[in-house]
Amino acid sequence: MSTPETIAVVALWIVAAAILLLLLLLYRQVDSAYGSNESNQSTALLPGVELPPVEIMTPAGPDFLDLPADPELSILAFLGSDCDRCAQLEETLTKEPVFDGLANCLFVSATPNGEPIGQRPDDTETVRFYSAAYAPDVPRTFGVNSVPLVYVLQGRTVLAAHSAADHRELAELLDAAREQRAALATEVGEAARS
Amino acid sequence: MAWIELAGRSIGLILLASAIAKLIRPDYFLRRLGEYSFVPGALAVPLGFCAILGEAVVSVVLLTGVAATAGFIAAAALFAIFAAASWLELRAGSAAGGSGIDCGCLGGVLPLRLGRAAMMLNLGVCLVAVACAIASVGVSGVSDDEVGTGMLWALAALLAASYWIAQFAFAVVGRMRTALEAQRRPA
Repeated sequence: MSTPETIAVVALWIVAAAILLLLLLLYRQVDSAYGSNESNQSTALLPGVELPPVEIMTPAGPDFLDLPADPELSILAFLGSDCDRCAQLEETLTKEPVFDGLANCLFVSATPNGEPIGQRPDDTETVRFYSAAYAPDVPRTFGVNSVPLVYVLQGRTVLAAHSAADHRELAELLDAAREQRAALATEVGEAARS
Repeated sequence: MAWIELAGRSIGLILLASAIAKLIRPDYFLRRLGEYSFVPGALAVPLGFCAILGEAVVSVVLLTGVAATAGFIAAAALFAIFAAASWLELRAGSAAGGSGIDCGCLGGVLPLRLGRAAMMLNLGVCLVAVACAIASVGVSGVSDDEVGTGMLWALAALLAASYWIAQFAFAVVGRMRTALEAQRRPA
């Protein structure tokens, strides 16, 4: 290569590197500006609302998820793949099932391939993993704009919903759910009296 | 013909970078592949390894210059598959109201997205490979007489880098569009 050619090629490489650097900076800015905004904007179903039927994949095809009966509190968590907090949540609920009054933990994977997960080694009578039958519908139907999203339910009624992964966050969410349950019971009692 | 050699080396370097990046973090690419709406979960791993192997083999063929025509045909097929994957994912994404997923194309080195622009770029490279395959019939071996070897490699590397930079630029624009759409969506 002659000297002008070398200079031209080096200059082009510098321009390409500069463009890449600027794009990386822009990506980081966009992520920090909008990423936190998106995750903070909760679109979860509100307390008191009845949860829509959850369709899951089973070896026999799509089926509706059986939610536990009314008096018990249960957790329904929507997970995604490659999500560190989802893995942490799974570990918290499978390794330390120490929450008072919590009957069931149901995990629904919202990854879009809709394949049945099958029996997992972590599955127990109270902790079970499923795969959503129609994953693209999950964000709209259940207000999942970030994972993990944890619903605390009594029967089909939503008591609380928030992103949670560790023991403390789950304990706070369950406390909020119990308060909501008490408030709903009071409202029902007042309505019955009047 | 220098332009065929330049195209061959550029496409070879694009595929080589892709294969190496995927091999550095194969789990990342395989997980992303499993999230493609049209890829059955059970097929993600074998398909992923076939893709990595295909990219590696085609890149070696193009970079060494042996069987250039076959290499260009295989490269055209690979880029056509990438474009088709983008198109299928776009269809599934628009049906579900989504707007592109991380394709894992560079194994997480750069966050890239499947989208319309990426599809058009892959189609463009596919067409270049087809043109080179036709033009390279009867041309064998590598000759750097018209352009020096160093120049050829430097330009090929620059073109390959430009391809990935363009893909990343499309991903950044796609990320911004997604964020703006999320903001405009009524609560």
